[in-house]
Amino acid sequence: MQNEKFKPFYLFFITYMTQMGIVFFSLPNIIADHFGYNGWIMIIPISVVVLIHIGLIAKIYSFNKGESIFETIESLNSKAKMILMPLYISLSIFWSILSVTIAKHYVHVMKFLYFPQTDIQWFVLITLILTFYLVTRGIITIAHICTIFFFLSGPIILLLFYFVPDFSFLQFSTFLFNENKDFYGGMIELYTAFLGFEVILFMFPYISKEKSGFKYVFLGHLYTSFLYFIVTIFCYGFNSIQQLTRQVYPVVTLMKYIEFEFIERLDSIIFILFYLKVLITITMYVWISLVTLKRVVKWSDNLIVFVLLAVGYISTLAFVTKKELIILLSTLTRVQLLISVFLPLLLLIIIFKKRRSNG
Amino acid sequence: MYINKNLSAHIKGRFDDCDDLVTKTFPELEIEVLFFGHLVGEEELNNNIVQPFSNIKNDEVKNILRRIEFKQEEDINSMVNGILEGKALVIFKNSLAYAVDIYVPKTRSVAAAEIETVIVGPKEAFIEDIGTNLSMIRRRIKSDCLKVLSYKIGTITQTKMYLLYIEGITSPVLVKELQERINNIDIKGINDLNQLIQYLDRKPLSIFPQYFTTERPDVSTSKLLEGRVICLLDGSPYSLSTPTSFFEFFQSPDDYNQRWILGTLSRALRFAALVITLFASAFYVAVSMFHYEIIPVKLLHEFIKSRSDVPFNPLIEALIIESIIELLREAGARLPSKIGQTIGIVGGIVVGTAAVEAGFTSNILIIVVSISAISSFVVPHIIMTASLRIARFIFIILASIAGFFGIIFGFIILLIHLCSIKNMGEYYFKPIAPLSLKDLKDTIIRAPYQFFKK
Repeated sequence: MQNEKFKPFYLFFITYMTQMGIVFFSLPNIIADHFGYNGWIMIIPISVVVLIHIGLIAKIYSFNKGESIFETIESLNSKAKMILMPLYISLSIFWSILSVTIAKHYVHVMKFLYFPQTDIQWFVLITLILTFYLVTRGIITIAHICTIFFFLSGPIILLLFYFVPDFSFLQFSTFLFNENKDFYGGMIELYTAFLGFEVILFMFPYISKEKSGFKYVFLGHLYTSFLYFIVTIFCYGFNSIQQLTRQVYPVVTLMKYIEFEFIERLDSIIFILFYLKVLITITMYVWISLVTLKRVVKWSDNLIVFVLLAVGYISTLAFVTKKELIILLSTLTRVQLLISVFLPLLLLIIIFKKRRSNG
Repeated sequence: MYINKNLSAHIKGRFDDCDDLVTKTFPELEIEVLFFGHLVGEEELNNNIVQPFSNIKNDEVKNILRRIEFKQEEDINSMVNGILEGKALVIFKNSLAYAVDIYVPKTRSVAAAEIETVIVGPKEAFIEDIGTNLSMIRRRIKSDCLKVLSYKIGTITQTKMYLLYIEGITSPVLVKELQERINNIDIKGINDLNQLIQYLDRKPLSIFPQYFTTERPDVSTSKLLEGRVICLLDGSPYSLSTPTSFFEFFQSPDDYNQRWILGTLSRALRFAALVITLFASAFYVAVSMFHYEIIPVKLLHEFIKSRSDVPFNPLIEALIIESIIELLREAGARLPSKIGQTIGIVGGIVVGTAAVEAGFTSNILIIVVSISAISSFVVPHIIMTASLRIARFIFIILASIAGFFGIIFGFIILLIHLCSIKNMGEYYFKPIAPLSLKDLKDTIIRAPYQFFKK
């Protein structure tokens, strides 16, 4: 498994599938709530900032030449391992908690919308079983599964054409960011919606070397931005700003409007198809916590993943209601945001230090 | 073991209680011939043994024994094996033995394919005799690059097996790997190639076939040309090819023999059939148990009306009808074709109509189940159809537990499983995973041949 590598174009699918998560359904609401009128414009600057952020990772990739980031960190000082061990353990536990929380959040929304009588723990357990099964197959299979899931869930976006006749530019109004509530908080919230690209940092040893292979990460991010952008625009053109601020999941509401000859209310199928994307997000975070914990313990993959999922599951057991979950998730994603900023910076500092000492 | 004295008695001793061993003697020439009458051809026996040794003098015998078809044998085991393989053993002066191959297999003649039928293209299929099967492939590939390695499978049956590959196209690693697996088979005997592939299997718990078998020599030839390894087994009208991909089971020679647009469309139809056969019944169960909201209002009325008389929940209802279909299919497979049609009528029309009228099931379910059964037969390979049927039952049960979510759960497990299977070092779900746009031209669609050129 160690020697096997995947072609860089899989990075496109991995980046996009990891970035896109449950936030997609509530994104227009978040934007309308925080930025007010014509808030969709904010997607562009935030996306550009994320692009720069990915640029940092690209720089590390080009310096590292396929070496894993753990080796880079550990090469600094042989005695550093003493400090790194607890760091690795806490990071991997953090990521496992984050991924279980993402799973729980999705499952909660699903229960809320379609299975009102079912206990969410069942769905969480099922999700964890799937995650366990997928993560233990190794990164190559995960990359392949990403690709298949992409093509299965990708065509859904074409349904947007259904809304073209009802789309009205009048809804946009001429105001810009009026009635915004929390502009800076909104920026952070929007930024966290793009998180997921940082898992690429851990994949360096698995990417087969090809010229400008990293461009696929940028493309994946651009595709995510494009989808966020176009869906938000459609939501803005379809609803008034007041409607948007009141709908918790405007995209689900949008889908409920679709009606065909044979099938009405497609939203349940689409929402559950979206599970594929959420599963990849969860899997990727569990996978990075797996590779992190592997630096510390010498257990088999199965055992590590089991322990991580169990830890994540038990530590989030107390969080059940939607409000609790949202607070937990937004706290965790903010921490993840900090990690995804500081980890690349740390790596760059180490790399520059090493280069200087090497002359 | 070398024996120079009393050879005839030794050999006969080995064949003690084998009353079908024929002994023909020419006492004046001191010649004794041993063979199995049912393994040799009458004409061959006459031409090679009876006629040459009739009406000759003692000193001419040596000239005859020097002929090319008389092969001197020294080892007693190979003499015995020779007789078992349909050779006549000529024993001269009770001390020298010569084997003459006069084997003529008593099998049926080459006939049209019965299971993998095509509309356009060659009709002939493999038969039980391995020599004829090999000749069908040699006739199609006139190249010295076609290599044939011979094996004996089964410690007792000593069944002949050939491993075929084309040098320069097939990877040597693959040939070596398969050779190793064949050498590791340790069984008493084998009857059919479909048993052999289960011994070669490295994923015995998977519901999907790991090796591609076909009864068509033209398909085997094209597999050889694609760089795969082919195996033939004596007594089996099939050939196996490996490495196998999931999508091979959805290809038919018709796709290649007809114009590309037709080939592509019929492939699309097969993939649609794949989706229908896997999910149609499960979808029905999910909708009627969890997701009534997706049925349009106009249809909902009919739907509820048809379900209102049914005393069972949708899962039991679907399982009953699916089981009836399975019974019909199994009965149809075991019965002679003439009675088989009656079964179809009884099962399809009588049971179906009566079940609905008796309020046993809803008629919408009958439609759904019939469509999914028909779709399962659209898949050109019977082995794959069987796997899909198993998966279908699993999906129905999952749908009854958690609706669409259950279906998605099963589907994800299925996909992960398919993506992680490797067959002889190649991914089973190729060319979707790993994705290879170049190979998609000949899996999902069938592009015009001009596009295949590199």
